[in-house]
Amino acid sequence: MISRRDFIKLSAAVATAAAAGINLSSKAEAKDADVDRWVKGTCRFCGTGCGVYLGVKNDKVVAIKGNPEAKTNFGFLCVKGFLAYKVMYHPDRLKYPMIRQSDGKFKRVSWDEALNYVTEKFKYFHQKYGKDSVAYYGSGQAMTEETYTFNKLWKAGFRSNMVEGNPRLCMASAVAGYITTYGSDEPIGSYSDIEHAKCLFIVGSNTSEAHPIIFRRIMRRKMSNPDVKVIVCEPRKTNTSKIADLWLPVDPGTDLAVFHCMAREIIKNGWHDKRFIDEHTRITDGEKVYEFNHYVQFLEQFTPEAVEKITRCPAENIKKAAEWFAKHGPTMSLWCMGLNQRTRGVWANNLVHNLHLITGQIGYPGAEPFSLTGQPNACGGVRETGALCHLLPGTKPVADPKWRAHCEKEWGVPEGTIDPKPGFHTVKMFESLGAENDTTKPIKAMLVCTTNPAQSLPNAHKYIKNMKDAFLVVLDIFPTRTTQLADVILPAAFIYEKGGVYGCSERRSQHTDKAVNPPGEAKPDIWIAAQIAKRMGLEKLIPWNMDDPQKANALAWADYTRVTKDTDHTFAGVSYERIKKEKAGVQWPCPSPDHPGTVRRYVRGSDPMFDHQGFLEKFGKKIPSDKKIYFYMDAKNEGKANIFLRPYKPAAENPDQEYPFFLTTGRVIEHWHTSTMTMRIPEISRAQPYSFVEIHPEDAKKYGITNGDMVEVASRRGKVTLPAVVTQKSLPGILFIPWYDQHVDRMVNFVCNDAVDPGSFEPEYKVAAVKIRKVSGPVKLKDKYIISDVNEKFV
Amino acid sequence: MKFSKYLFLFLIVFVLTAPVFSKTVKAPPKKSVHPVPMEDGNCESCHEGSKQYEQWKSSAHGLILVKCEVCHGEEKTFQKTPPDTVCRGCHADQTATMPAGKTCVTCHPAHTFNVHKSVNYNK
Repeated sequence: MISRRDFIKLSAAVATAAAAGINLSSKAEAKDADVDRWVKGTCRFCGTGCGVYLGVKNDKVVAIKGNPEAKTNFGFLCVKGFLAYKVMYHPDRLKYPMIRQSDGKFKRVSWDEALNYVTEKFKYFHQKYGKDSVAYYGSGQAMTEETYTFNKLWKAGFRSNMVEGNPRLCMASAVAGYITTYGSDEPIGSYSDIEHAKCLFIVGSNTSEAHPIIFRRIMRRKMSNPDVKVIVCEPRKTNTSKIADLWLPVDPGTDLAVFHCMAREIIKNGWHDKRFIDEHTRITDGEKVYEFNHYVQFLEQFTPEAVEKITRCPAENIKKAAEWFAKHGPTMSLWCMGLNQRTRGVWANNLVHNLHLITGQIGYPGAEPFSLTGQPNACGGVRETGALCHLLPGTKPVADPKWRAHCEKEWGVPEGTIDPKPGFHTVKMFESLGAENDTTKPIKAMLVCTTNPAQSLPNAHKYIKNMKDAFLVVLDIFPTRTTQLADVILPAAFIYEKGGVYGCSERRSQHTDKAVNPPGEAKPDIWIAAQIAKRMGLEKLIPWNMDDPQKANALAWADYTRVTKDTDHTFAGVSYERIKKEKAGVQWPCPSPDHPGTVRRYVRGSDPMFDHQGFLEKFGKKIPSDKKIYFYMDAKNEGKANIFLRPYKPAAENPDQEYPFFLTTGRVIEHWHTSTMTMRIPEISRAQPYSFVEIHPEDAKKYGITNGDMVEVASRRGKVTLPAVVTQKSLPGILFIPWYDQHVDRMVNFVCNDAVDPGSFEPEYKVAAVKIRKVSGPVKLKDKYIISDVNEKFV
Repeated sequence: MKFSKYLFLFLIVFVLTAPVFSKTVKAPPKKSVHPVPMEDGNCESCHEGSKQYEQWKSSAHGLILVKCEVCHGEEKTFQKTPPDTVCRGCHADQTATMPAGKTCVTCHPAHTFNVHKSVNYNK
């Protein structure tokens, strides 16, 4: 019993504190008047993987804040993540399944009717045209559990490898770059290398607009440590280069020469690490192995002066960049679509890895070749679950008989179920899609999930008819260009209405809790996948068909982590309970419940695979005990990474007399992809209501173009007409158009090139040859363009 | 008798200090509409070159493209002085420990916001 004296003392203390304005409650207890509860999750948008909390009041999401304990963003958000939740309540949300009728209009139907119709059609096509006549095209924005489920259903259920996803269009070159160089996909280090780097080489990335919160960390690193060198290498002088010490401008598609030139400079000046090269690498062209001197000879052609002629990058800038890269380390490279969306994207990736390998700038804090992933779940959902036409879970090839046998055993399907032959990559898939009676089109039906290929495919005109003619089932939250071509629309739940896991660029998977219910009859993708499985006799394969997506997600996750438990991507130590609790998610490999996750791979003491018996036995790995750094996924089992002799090749299409300009495409901070979500947020649509073409003042003058004039930009494939923004941001001869606009006059993918990298099959969005003409002065545009009516025709 | 005296004292103290114990981030004030019609323009259309715009441009917000509409909304959601619930979106830790009677801009003046910049990633 408290004494009278003590009670008075306590009361006095509290009153005094109150008078002084001191808050005695903890942070965790702080209540917000506008929110009943905060629900943990991740941002819906880019591959940074910002942690968030959704504020729920009266069963509605009314607020959002960053998660200060998330190791990706430390609580910060960009404009898209900040306003994302507003998307959930837009009146255009798809709420009911719909089937297109013979008059061309959509009719609302029940889920039973829609799913029965879809599965009857799928069964019909399978019977008449074979198991590969029905394809799945998914997304780096679907949850890991959902993509895993669809992939399993198709590959083990339908026995078809006609599974692709939009990461083919953005990350395939980076995947192939990592696998050819190190034997395994995804970065070695983590975002935390930013805070240890003394040289940051940002190449083919407008980080400040494409990965704003990663840019924030870079910006802070530079501002707190002015001696850190920041090099930006790309055709435009973007907002990112505001913090740069050096800009390496390059004509689109020519940067391979710059990377080789930097390597030449480094070696000529003796700035390379010969010991590291000898111990940890081999020199190869992909077939033969060469001596170091052969590489030196090969590089001789890439003199700074010769490279300046090819690329327009000043020789002095290249020399300076080489010096800082080699001598001002630790050096971290960060790159994105500028390297990946190229017909030589794999080579571009290889050559940046080369720079790290020849200087030994790898495997310690700050020294890291880091590929930035574009989408929030391209890594976790598509790459890691193997949801591409040539892969299985664990990012392993369908062509590998041992891994096929392993997956068949784990999935409880007969030996020989999984097809060893890869399916079609994305461009080929859409080329092969078409009408039932078209014998040139072997794919008769497609399920499109959480993506918008009618706007996002390059050379888009070519594929519109194919999608229209085929039996197209589209799963989405809003009407899009793709729903305009659909036969069936299935309304989907948004991330905060279903929950699930997203895995970001730095191998970190993070969990989102379900915060609220979806509108109308919208359903989680995982439920839709499981219902299709059930109706097609595959309930045993996909038993998680319950209504509660959180229960379904947990079962799918358990299945996935069991199949991949002995791989170098292992999440065996991360139960669903654990990933729900972890404030900052977990980075793989994480082999056991007590393991914290891996910050750095291939380094003994940091990477648990060095001692992982299951992995070492299953894959026949022997890691010498004296090796501190060991690239254990080396296909030749020598623990070495590959320094590649890649010839110089420019882009597939370059300016000529008829089409004298380079066109490159990209992003603005406000818009996500095809802007079907972001253009519905008033603050964003006012800031960026329509796309535009950036043109250098010299070129503008030649064509009599001033700011706001309407300009037609045409390639051999198609044309767009947009307002001009006259700017010094890039070199003369280079145009830039952001790709978000849905208006048919401004959909730049009509213009872009669908030529693909022969290694990764990723298209060359970043380089096309175009011509321009002034159409008129400024006009009032149909801006803030969205498609609200599902029955609106594709025009 | 003694117990009821203590209870009475406790109640007095509790009532006086309860608002401090349950620290609330105040509900946002009534929203004001933008003073003039924005028509098709964005914030920069009118405010580029102004003192506030230049302060913002040279600030961390400017560098990482936290543009006007993030904090101030747009025409129909315009707030001249955003409440702390807006700042909370990126600065949740700080708004949760706000001294009573103060708001973010008491110490961090708009639009430079340059007091007590902290480097906080080595967590």
